[in-house]
Order: sequence, then structure tokens, then C-alpha cells
Amino acid sequence: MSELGRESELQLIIRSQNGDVGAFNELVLHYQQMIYNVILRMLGDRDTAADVTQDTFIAAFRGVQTFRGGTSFRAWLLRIASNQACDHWRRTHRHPVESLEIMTDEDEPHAADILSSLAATGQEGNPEESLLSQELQELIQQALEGLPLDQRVAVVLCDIQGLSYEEIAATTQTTMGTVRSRIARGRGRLRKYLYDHRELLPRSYRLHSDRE
Amino acid sequence: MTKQGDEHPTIEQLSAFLDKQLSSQEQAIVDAHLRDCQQCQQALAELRQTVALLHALPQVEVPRSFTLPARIAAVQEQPVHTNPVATPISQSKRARQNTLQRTIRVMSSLAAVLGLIFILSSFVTALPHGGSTSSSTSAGSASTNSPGANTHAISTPNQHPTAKTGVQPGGSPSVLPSKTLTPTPTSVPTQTVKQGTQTSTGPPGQPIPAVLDLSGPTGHLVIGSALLVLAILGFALARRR
Repeated sequence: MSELGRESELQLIIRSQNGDVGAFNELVLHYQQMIYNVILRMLGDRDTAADVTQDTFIAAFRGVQTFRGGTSFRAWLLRIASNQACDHWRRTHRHPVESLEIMTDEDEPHAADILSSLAATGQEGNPEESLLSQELQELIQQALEGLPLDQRVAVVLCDIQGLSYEEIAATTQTTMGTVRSRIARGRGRLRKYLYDHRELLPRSYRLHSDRE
Repeated sequence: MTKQGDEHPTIEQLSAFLDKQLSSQEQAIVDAHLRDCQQCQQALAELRQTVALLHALPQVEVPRSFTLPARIAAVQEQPVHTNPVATPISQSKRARQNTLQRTIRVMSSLAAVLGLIFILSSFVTALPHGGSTSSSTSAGSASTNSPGANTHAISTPNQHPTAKTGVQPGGSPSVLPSKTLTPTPTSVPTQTVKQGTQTSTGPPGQPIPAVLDLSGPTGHLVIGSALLVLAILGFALARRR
């Protein structure tokens, strides 16, 4: 993501605002990987994610006039993407999954061993071993889809995309305090979900606690 | 938060602690608490593992390029930010339009049905003039009889009521009006039908032009066609909206 300099990005944005599709497409090529992954983690389905990603870039091009330099272009784009994803989710999920809604945040205190045994080690060994198993990926994805949308956006941006609290606040147009609280509650629910479904997980994940 | 370490930090504080997002003072308090509290250490470790799992999710390759076609520039304008505001208004507008459209369509189909019944009845009422006493309601015989009956009605309107009274009890005209009554709750058509039967059973009055004579088959044909044209216009209007 670093190959596009601050200056050249600004140039591309200005050209896009003047209707230059070619310039805008350079921005698309630069950001599509991240936008697609954010939407995919929010919605779960790859085909749907591709459609919503396309809609996001169309909406972004149509609205590029309204972009003002105040925030980062990335945050602006992410806001459109998360709005599109949320809209799609609300359209297709009229009756929200309540399995995670009813959970409390404070719960069983001894999930750490289980969770740490689930985490892939990643640091050593070959790249293949660093990947999570398919089952585990699916379980985490399910857990994400059980989160309320505001928490899901915050957790995806923070823990999967690695955005700072500041940038998440800019993206979601909320305060830092709100971001902090959404991330915490989202993580709390995910922790509970993963612990509750530990029996679905493969045994091959060896205990590897406190690796930081 | 108390400065003492006896009160557990909230999950929000632990989560923010993990990201080093607490103020330095808060950070110190939580840090001090964690040193002694097994339970919070456990909770923090769990949160850390959860974050590690999320972080370990692979980035998925894009299935295709999402670049836009050059022609998209032609459909420029309409900033996205106005969309959320515009949607509720346009939706209610569309809903109103839909009900209007539906009403027009229902009225049109009603007019079409009425028109067809009138046209058909013009053929069937012509039947008695053909002189068949056996009450045949088949459309085939009615249509073959109609041209002759038509000219008959135009040339001698006086003959028409007398012929009608003869067939009235068991004949087809008595069957048809009841048919026309069922699908149309509106008052106008039933009145015209009633008028038709009344004039036909009553004594022969002054001669009326065949086109305006509602009892006559030509009158029925004219009314029927008019209703059909109205229906077609209605459908055309409903489609254009």
C-alpha cells in the first residue's frame, strides 16, 4: 500500500474529480484488495463481497466530488465500503442472528488456554503452517457475522486491517471513545463465541500462550 | 477508576490496554492491577488470543479487477452523500405512484371486462331476431345471426320489443344480464341493463336511433367498444408511468 505516494494520490483524486476514469481506476487498483477484504469479512460470502466492492467503487466515483482533503482518502473510501456492506447486510438479514446478542461480555474466565491453543503460531515454520485451518477460519467468520454491525466494522478495521483508532473514528464518523468501546465489546463477544465452539476446532492447534 | 488495585478493570479498559490506547495514568493503574490479579491476567490473555486469531485470518486475493469502464463518466454527478436523504422521499413518492398505477390498472381491466360483456351481449341479444325459439346460447350461432339481426333492428325497431317479449322467460337475454351484474358492482351498467330489459318488455315507444338504443345490439356494441377503448387507454397510461 505504500507504493502510492501522498502527492500522487492527491493528483489522482483531483483528476478523478474532473471526471478522469483512468485516474480513478489507478486508485481502484491500489485500494481494491483492502476494500474487498473488509467487505468480505463483514459479509462472509465471496461473490456478494465482489458485488458490493464493485458498488462501492461506483458510488465512490460518483461521489468523489464530495471528497475534501480533511480526512484520508482511505478512510473516506472505507466509509463508503462499510456503509454499502451494512446496507447489504440489513437488506438480506431482516431478522438479526440473536445468538451473540444475548451473550454477556463478562463470562467464563478460563477460555485463555483453549483460545491460545487455537491460535496459529505463525512466527516459525513454513508459510503453510502459519495459515489457520479452513475450519478455524470459518468459525471466526461465523463469529464475526454474529456481531452487531457497528462492532463488526470496528473489529474488522482494527484487528483484521490493522487501522488505528483514529482512522476508525474518521471512517465511522464517531469519537475515539465510541471506537474503543465497540472494539472491546466486539472482541469480548468473539472471545465468548470461540470459547463456546471450541469443540468444533481441530486438535492440531497446540497451546502457545502469551506470545507477545 | 480507583487508584487502588482491588477493583477490576472493565473489558473496555483491558481491550484498550492491549492496544496501548489508555492514558498513561490509566495504563499504569491497569498494569499495577494486572500484576496481582490472576483473573484479569486470564481475561487479557483471552482477548489477546482473540485478536491474534483475527489477525491471522488471511487476506483474500481479489477475484477480479474492480476498475470502472470509461463510459461510467457519462453518468457522472449524483454525489453518494445525498442518496440516504433522497431515498425515503423517492420511496414514498414511488409508493404513491404505485397505488395510482394499480388503481388505473384495476379500473381499466374492469372497463375491459364490461366492454367485452357489452360486445358479446350485442351478439346474443340479436339472437331473438334470428327467430330461434330454442334458447341456444352458443356463441357460434349468435355470431352468425348477428348481421341479419342488426339490419333487422335498424330497419324495424318496432318489431324488436315484441320479439323480445316472446323469448324473455327462458331466452338468452334473461341469462346475460345476470351475468353482467355479477362482476360489476358499479351502478351505471346495471341501470343500463335494467333499462334495456324494461324497454324491451314495455310497450313499443317512439323510435330511437339504433346507436343510442341501449336495448339494441348496436347500442351494446357501441358501449362495449367505448369501454374497451377506455380500458386500452388506461393500460397505456399505467404502463407509461
